Amino acid sequence: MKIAISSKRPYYNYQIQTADRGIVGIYGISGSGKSSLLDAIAGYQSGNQGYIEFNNKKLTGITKCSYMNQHPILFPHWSVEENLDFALTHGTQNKNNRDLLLQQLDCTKLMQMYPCQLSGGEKQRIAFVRALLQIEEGSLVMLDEPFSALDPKMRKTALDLLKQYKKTCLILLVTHEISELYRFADELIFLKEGVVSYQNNIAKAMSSNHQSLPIASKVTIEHQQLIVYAEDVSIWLKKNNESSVSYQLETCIVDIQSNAKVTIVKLQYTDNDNEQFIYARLMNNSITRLDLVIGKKVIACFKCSNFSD
Amino acid sequence: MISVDLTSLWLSFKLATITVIILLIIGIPLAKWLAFSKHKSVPFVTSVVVLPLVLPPTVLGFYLLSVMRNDSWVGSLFIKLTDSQLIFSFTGLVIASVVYSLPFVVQPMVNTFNNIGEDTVKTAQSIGADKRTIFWKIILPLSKKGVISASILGFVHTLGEFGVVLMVGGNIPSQTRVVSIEIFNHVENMELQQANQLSLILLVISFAVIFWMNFNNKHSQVLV
Repeated sequence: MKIAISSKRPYYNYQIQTADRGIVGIYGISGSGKSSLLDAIAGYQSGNQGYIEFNNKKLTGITKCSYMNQHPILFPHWSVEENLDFALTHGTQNKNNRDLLLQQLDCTKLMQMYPCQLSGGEKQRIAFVRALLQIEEGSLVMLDEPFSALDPKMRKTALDLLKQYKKTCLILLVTHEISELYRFADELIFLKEGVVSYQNNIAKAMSSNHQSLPIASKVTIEHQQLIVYAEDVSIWLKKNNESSVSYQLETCIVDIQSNAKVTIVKLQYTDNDNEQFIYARLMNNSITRLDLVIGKKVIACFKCSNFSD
Repeated sequence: MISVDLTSLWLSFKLATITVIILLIIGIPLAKWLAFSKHKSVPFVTSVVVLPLVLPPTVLGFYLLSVMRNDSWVGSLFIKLTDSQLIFSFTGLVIASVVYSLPFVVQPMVNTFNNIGEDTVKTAQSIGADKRTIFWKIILPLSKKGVISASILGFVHTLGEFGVVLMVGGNIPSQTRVVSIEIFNHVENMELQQANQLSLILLVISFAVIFWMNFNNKHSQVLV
């Protein structure tokens, strides 16, 4: 997808290029222009200058896509079933897919209810099912904080479902949960005041030292996939068997980057001949106190929950 | 016991029914355009539509008379085509009523369409529905109450029309003498009992219709 659009009111100027498949996370503080970007791509904003190209075709007018707004819109005069069937009528999926998705998101019992009878979380789940039912090969899926009203377990289920479509379509996901983007996104776009302030693939974004992105890395340790945040890592000079900390890894310091307050230490870890990197965020005085220098062997300690990809 | 001739009342009903049907046919697309279009001319067209609401009926009647009189190009064209005059005819009365009641039908419909919200329409578009489907399956069902309210307002308003009717239609029995004119005639001839009976019928019908509408539409009270 190629985006080169600008507008005066609301102000934005986006120059973006991404693959036509995969999950692209869109991140930024409130008012940074995340929803405006999705609105512009969907064709909801009039008066744009420039162009948007997807699957080598220029987008004009309202784009046929799965677009789930921040405040999901269901047609109020129809039941949940009728709302979902409207998407089926204009797509290629069938009622079996619908029933399966409803079951997975625990919505089967909502079928005969009307939107005014649904809670915020239920509305989000139904709008999400509708968005998934619109998906075809090569679709554009745009989700603007789609799971803000869902509990953590349901968020995880919804994200796992979404992940299944990343090889066949482009998913633009706006969320304030950076951990979800680190876990699920392929690429990250950081918006600030209506412009792209940072864009990179997720691995580079995680270790970018960007002031608004927590430093972290994706690693595989003993067949477990983990996301290790630099602020969760502490450095010991030797192993401590009397500690409850689950991960105590023998690592080697390969880089040290300091600023006025903190230092980021890059640690190399080898798991089954596979070289990986972990970052530790330490106070500057810890560096001198432990005499940390490049090449020194240290123990990286952290608590962490695994995820499966 | 009713001792008054009801011909004028039936004529008013006929006029109001035909007017509302015509207003629905032209009013719904016009209201939809006014509600959803971003064209520069929307404020101008809205002002033209609303004008009969603020203009004295005699002023509106005078201009309609000027447009429809036999020596105007509209009037003379009508005579050429139908061999009958537009002014002081039932057809002329219908045209005048349509113009006069236009804001009473279009404005509530514009408000109803606005309440649906652009995002609802855009959501349907992004799902892939075409304009016709969106109009028939989403916009119209969602604005059903508003369209019914607008029709009732237009109907009741046409029933009570006086100034424009007098200017354009005159006072021809069974043709243009509608109930409001008939009441005026009775009062002028000091036939107060007949005037009272017709007025009461009109009052009861108008109140019953507005009450029914408000009763059915509790959440969006209509202020006349």
